[in-house]
Amino acid sequence: MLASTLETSDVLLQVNGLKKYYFIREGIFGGVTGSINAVDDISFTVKKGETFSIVGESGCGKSTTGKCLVRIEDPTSGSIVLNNKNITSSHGKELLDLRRNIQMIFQDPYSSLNPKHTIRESISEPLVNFRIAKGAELEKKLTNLMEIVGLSPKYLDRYPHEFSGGQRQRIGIARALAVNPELIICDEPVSALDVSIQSQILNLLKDLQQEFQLTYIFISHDLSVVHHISDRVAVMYLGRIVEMGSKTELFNNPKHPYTKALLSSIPIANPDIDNKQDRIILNGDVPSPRNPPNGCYFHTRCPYKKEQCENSYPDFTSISETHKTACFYVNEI
Amino acid sequence: MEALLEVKNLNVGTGASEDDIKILNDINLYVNRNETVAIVGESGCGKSLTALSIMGLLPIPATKLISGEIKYEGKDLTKLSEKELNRIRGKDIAMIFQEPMSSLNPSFTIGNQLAEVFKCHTRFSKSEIKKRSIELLTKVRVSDPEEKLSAYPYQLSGGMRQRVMIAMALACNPKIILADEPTTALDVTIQAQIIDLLKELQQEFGMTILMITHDLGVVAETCDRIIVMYAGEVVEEGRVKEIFHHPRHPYTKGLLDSIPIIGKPLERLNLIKGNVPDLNSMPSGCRFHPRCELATNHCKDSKPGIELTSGGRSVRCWHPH
Repeated sequence: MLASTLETSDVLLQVNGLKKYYFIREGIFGGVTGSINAVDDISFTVKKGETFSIVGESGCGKSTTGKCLVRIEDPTSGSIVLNNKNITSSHGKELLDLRRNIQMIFQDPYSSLNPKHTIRESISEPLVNFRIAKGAELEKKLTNLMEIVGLSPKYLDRYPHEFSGGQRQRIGIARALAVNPELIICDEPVSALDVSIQSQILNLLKDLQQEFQLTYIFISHDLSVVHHISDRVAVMYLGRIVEMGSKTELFNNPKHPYTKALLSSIPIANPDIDNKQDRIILNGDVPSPRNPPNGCYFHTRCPYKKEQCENSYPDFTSISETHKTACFYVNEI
Repeated sequence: MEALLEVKNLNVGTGASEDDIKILNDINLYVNRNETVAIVGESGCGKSLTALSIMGLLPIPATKLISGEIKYEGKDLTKLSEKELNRIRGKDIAMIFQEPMSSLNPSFTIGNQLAEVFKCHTRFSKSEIKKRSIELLTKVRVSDPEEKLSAYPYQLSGGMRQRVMIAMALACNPKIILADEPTTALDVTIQAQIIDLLKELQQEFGMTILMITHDLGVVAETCDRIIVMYAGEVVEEGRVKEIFHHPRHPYTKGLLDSIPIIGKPLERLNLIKGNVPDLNSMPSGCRFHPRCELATNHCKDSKPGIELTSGGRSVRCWHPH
């Protein structure tokens, strides 16, 4: 395991064999007829102060993983250990404490703020809930939070509809920061924003990380953004991690055919580079998670598949101490 | 050479009177035969509305075409009756919409929706329509085309739906295709498939494409010329390479600098400060001046003009780079 090579004091979060299955019930008796394995046995470790990114296409289970970590969804099995404390089945007061430590920034700034609450109400809710501040102190804290995320405190009494997408995302960030969390899960925080605004938010996230020693789990489908912000990256496909490594390892030396295809499909904003020659265009679509293919999940689209791939799922192979991938033919590709 | 499509001094607003908000301000653009032109800009800059105006699909009564000409092969589309327009759109000018989920009718099969295009514009028999539909679906690389004809949109994935949309657009061998963010709603691996397909069709049929997008990567790979829009105006226009290497308008430069590029690591991204202005409180003078680093008092007071010259470049700025 990766964790054993690290000082235990460096590790903030350790996820082991995490699974989230949604069972399908059909018929009048509601019998279970199948399951959707949204997250299927994934393990990873996140160090303090780093940015760990999870990338993948829609439906690969990256958001579900994020939701399991904050316990919006209860995992089917596996363990989540935060600061040496198993939080997989925390409830009641323990769960409240946990949520003080893990906060989330959501994708869609239009639907993640209550339209009937003013910004003051939205941001002060966690502060009041966790009994962190009240009265004059609350006011001071709110002003401070607004300034941290680059908004004028005079906007506190406005409603979400009066703000643009980028400003709303800033409000979402202020709300997450209010309780001084250690870990923030950013679920596609910039995908709904325009490019000029996207860069503002990415810079803000980086600044805040330095200022408050935050740890991020950054969930995204945009590889350019992930490359910009991450220290380590995991690539997910159909509920499983297919490759994991440091940013440089993964982007400069991708080993899994899926990672290679993913990287080669990004359109490059430079008209001089013609990457059409080495572009790997995958056939077909991602299979349905309700009946994933036998063997390696990727074999239906893989340009390198061999017979073995259709029969069994490959184990993780270590390429270096930090770089691992699940493919039978790592050394040949 | 005469342009295939030419938009001249197009103005669109919420109404015709002086107090109504002007959404598109004096848009000028042209698309030559066999050319792929991109309209680039952020949300709310008016790029989709420009395409809708060309198709005569402006949402009514929310918006109104105030003045301007839209010339297709020399004919002014704004002067045509609905009936005459129907003969051109869908046949000569086709459109691919952004959201493949909501732009196909969920209660009709793919075969039904493809057949509708033929019924409107041709006199094909039923069997001929079926034959053509299968041909089209094969052309856009839909697997098992015959089976897919009886499928409903919800039974297809996003990429497949977008292929069906493209097949519908191609049905009558259009001379020009307006593609409004054709790959935005798709995953990267599927996006690569669709871009590949568009390029191939473009080569095979010598199609003219006017693509609307905010993804500069897609533009760099597929287009010949770029039109940059900001706050309802065209601010810069030129060939792709020239614009990417020497952006002259500060907004274009800011836009190009603010995208993270793999292989070009930066500690901090460059950015354009502030937000896109609100339609009902447009800044005076140059609309970009509150966000511009080069802005002077002159920019605040008077509005820079834009000259559109064929082959050359044009920029709407007092202090271009």
